[in-house]
This record gives sequence, structure tokens and C-alpha cells, in this order.
Amino acid sequence: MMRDYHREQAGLNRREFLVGLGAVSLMIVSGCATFRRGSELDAAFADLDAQLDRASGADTRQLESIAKRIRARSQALIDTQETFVTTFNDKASRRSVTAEELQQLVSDYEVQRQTLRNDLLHLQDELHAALPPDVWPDVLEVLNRKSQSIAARNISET
Amino acid sequence: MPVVATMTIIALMTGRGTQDLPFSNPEVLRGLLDNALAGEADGTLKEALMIADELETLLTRYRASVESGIDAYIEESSNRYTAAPELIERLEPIDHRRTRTLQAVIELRQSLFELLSDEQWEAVFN
Repeated sequence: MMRDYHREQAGLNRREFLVGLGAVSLMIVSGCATFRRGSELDAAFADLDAQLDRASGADTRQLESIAKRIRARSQALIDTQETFVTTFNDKASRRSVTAEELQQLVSDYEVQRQTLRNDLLHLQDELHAALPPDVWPDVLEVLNRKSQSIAARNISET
Repeated sequence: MPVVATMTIIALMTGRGTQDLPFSNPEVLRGLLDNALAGEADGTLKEALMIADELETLLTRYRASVESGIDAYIEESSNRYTAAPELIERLEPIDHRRTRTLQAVIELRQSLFELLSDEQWEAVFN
């Protein structure tokens, strides 16, 4: 019996796509602590774009939707943190700004940050549910490797 | 859901790109104080540098606690299924630690505010 190489290839590509999409989406979440442009987060966004470009067919539409929402929330979280750190330092350096004003800034930021962070956690649940069970271990392996690496580097650099 | 990644989100009050920000980087604060207060003869510089040292101790302690939190979380989450509500609950203590750290930074800034005159403050931060 002749092997259907085309079909095998399609199957491999689909699995590769799912693993890649899942891992990249979650890696984006892990990259949120870093806000320097040109970081591995930008690379992750580029990888995600490439994965989304390759996506086709109804079975990947849900994953695409989740990945796009993860990306949007991740970017919002990055922007929020960048704005906070800059604003906090700017205000703290101005003598006319009171401690109460700084407390309010921190309070507002924490609410915003935790809301975005929790949204991301819920989106990760959605992604987990949408991924075929046999793909998840591969995604997890990539995720754990990436996130430990990012966490270690961010801590050492701060 | 064993997602270790989000731990890094809560990990940082400072991060790359904050190198020139005095209240996120004690070394920058020390440099500003040294430059502006070197000529003061009343011990102000020494006291101000002690505040910068306290800021460094505070941030170092915070980072160490977050790092150990991440290690513990990775260890635990790799062994079991955890969904978002459970993760959020587990992250709450670190959220609180982060908020307390920021409040402590504000208190240190207040100490510096009370130590320096208007002119000295302007010389440091202008």
C-alpha cells in the first residue's frame, strides 16, 4: 500500500502548528515582565504571527482567537507596567507630589495589573481546554523551559 | 493548569529598562545623591545614602522572596492540575508582598523628603 506522504505531512504540520501556537501564546504571557522592546517577547509575537498566518481551517479558528486575545492582554499588561514604573519614578522625584498621591498611583496600578493578569490566567485555561490532550505535554515542556529561563533572567537583571 | 509563566508577571516592580530610574534602582539614587550632596558638611549625604541602602535591602529582599516563590510554584504546579481561580488565589500573597514593597518604597522616599531641604531635593532630582 502506498503511503500518503501528503496526508502525513499535513498531519505533522497540524500538530506542529498546535504545539507552536500553544507554546508561543503561553510564552507571551511569561514575557510580560519584560518591557524592553526587541526582547524575546517581540520574538514571541513574531512567532505567533507566523503561526497565525499558517493557520487555516475551522479547527484552528478557536485557537487563533484565544491566542490573539492573549496577545492583546499581554501587550496591555506590558504597557501598564511600563507606564507605572516611569510615572512612579517621575512623581516620586517631584517634591510637590505627596505620599498619598503615590499611594493612589500604586493602588490604581495594582488593580489594573491584577485584572489583566487574571484575564490572562483565564485565557490560559481556555487555551488548555482548546488544545488536544496529546499536544499539551509538548506545549508544557516548551512553556516550562521558556518561562523558567525568562523568570531567572528577569530576576537576575533587576 | 500548570502554567508557571504567569509567576513572572507578578515578579517585578522593576525590570529591564528601569536602569535610570532612581526609585527602582538604588545605584542610580546613590549616584544622584553623591553628585548633588557631596559638598554638604552636615552629614546629610551620609544619612541620604543610608536611605538608598535601605531601598536596596528592600528590593533585594523582595526579589529573593519572589524568586523562592517562583521555584516553589514551578515545583508544585508541575505535579498537578491548577485552574485560573486556584492560581489567582495562590498569587494573592505575592500580590500583597508586592504592594507592601511599593508602600515601603514610598515611606523611604518620604524619609528622604524630610531629610532634604527644597534646594537639596532640587539639586538631587532636577
